[in-house]
Amino acid sequence: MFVFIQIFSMLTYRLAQAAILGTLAIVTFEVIARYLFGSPTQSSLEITEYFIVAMGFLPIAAIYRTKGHVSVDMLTNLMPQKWRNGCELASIVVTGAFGFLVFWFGAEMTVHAYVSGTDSSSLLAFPMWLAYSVIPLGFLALGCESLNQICAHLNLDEGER
Amino acid sequence: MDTVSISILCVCALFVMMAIGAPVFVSLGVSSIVGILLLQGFDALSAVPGVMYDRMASFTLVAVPLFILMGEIIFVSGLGGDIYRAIRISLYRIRGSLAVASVFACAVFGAMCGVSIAGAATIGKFAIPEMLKAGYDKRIATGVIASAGSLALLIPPSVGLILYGLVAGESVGYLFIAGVIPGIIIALMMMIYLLILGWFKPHLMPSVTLDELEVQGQENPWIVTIPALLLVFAVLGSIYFGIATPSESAAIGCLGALAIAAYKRMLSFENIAKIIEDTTRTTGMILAILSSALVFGYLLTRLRVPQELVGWIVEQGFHQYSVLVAIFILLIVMGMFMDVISVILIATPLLLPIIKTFNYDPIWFGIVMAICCEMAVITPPVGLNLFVIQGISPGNTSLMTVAEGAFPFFLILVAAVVLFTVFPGLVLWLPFG
Repeated sequence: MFVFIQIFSMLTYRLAQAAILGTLAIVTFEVIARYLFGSPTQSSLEITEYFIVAMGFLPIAAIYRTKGHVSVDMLTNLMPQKWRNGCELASIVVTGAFGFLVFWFGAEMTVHAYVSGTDSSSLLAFPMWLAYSVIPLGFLALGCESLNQICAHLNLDEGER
Repeated sequence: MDTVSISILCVCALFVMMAIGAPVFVSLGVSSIVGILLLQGFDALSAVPGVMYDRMASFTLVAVPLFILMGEIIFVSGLGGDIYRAIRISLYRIRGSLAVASVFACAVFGAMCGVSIAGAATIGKFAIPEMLKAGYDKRIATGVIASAGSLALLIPPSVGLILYGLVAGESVGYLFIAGVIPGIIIALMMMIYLLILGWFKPHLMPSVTLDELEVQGQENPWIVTIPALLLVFAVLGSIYFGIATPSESAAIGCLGALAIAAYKRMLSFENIAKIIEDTTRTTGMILAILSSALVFGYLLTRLRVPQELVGWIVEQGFHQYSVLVAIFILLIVMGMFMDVISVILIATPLLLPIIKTFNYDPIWFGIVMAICCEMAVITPPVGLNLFVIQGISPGNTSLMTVAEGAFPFFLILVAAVVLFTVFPGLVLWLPFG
C-alpha cells in the first residue's frame, strides 16, 4: 500500500517535471517560429496553459513528502515535543482532509467534462477533462501521502510507548 | 451567520492552521473552504477546483517556472561567483571594495534570477570568506550579502512581481519596467552607505591589494560575465521594447543561461537533474500557494471584505499617509512571520482596493510591496536570507550577527520606501513600452 502511494506521488512528480521541460520546448519553439520565421503556431500558448496547471498540482504530494512546502514553524518549535507531535499530526490530518475534499470536487468536475464532451473553444478543441484531471490526480496523491504519514506517525507513537 | 463573523472566523482558521505548522497552501485552502461552507453550504465547494483551474491556466504564469529554471541554471553554473570576482577586481582600489562589489554582483545576479535566496547563496559563498579573510567585520560581511541578495525580489525578473501582477490584474511587463529604476536606486544607496562607512570607519572594511585577491592563474572572470550582462539586456530589453512577452523572454533567458553553463562545462547529467528537480520543487511550492490564495481571494470577494474594509477606512476619515504607514507596517510584520510569496498573495487582494481608493497607482504599490518584502527577508525571526547567510558563513555565525549587519540596510530600504512614496514618479518614470 505504502509503496503504491510512493510510486503514485513520484509518478505525478515526474509528469510535472515533464510539463516544465515541455513548456520550455514549446515557448522556445514559438519564439523561433514567430520571430525568426514569421509564422507563429496556432496552439502553443494554449498547451502551455495546460502545462502550467499540471506544474502547479501534480508535484504537491512529492513536495509534501519531503516537507518542501512553506509552513510557519516558529510557534511549534517553541512547544514541548509532545505538543509538537500533536500539532504535526493535526496538520497532517487537515492536509489529508483538504486533499481528499479537493480531489472529490475536482473528480466531479473532470467526470462532468468527460461525460458532456467539453472541449476547449480554440482550434485545438482540447478535451477539457484531460486538462482538469491534473487537479484530482494531484490532490488524490496529496491525500494518500497524508494517510501514509498519519500511519507512520501513529506507528512512531506506538513505538515510543 | 453574517459576513463579518465569517470573515473573522476565516482569518482565525488561517492563523490557527499556520500556528500548528500546516503548509501555507493548506492553511489558505482550508480557511477558504470553511468560509465557503459557512457562506453558501457544502454544494458551493464544487466551485473550488474551478476557481483554481480558471485562474491558474494563464500564459502570464508561464514566466514563473521559466524564470525559476533560468535562475537554477545560472545558480548551478556558478556564474554568480564569476560576476562577483570580475567586479571586485575592477573596484579593488576603493575602500570597502569587496562589500561594494558584493552589492553590485547581487544586483546583476538579481537581474538574472527571480528569487532572493539564490543570489544571496551564490554570491555569499565566494564573497563572505573573502571579506572575512581581508579582515572585514563579520556583521558587515554577512549583512551586506543578506540584504543585497534581497534585491532580486525587486529587480526584474522577480517572481514576486509576476505573482503580484497576476493577482492584481496588472501587466507583468509594466511591473518589470517599473522595478528597474528603484532597483538601481536602492543598489546605489547601499553602495554609497558602504563607501561612507569605509571612509569613516576603515577598520571595519580594510583595503585589499590585487595580490590578496589571488587573481593570478585564474581564468579572466569577465569572459563569462560579459555574456551574462548581455543576457540580462536581452531578457529585459525584449520586454521593455515590447519585442517579447515576459514568458517568451524567460525562454530566451533559459537558452542563454544554458549556453553559458555549457561553456563553463557545468552541464553534467547530475547538474541537469538537479536543475530540473529544484525548478519543479520551487515552482510546485509557489503555484500550490497561488492556487489556494486564488480561492482565498474568491472568498474575500464573495464576502465583500475588501469593499467593507475600504468603506470602514473612508468612514473613519484616516489621512492617506497614516493608512499607507499602517499598510507598510502590516506588510513588514507579515513578512517577519511568513515567506514573501505568501505575503504577496494574501495581502494583495486585501490591500489593493484601499490603495486604489487613495488614487495610488497599482504598479507603484507592487514595487513598494516588493521593497517591504525585501525588508521582510532580512528581519528576524523568519528572515529567509538571514538563515541562508548563517548557513553558508564560515565558523560559528549567529543569526543575530547577520541580523545586526543587515539592520543598516533595513533602514536604507525604509528610506527607499519613503523616497518612492514622496516621489512616486521615480517608480513610474520609465515609459512603458
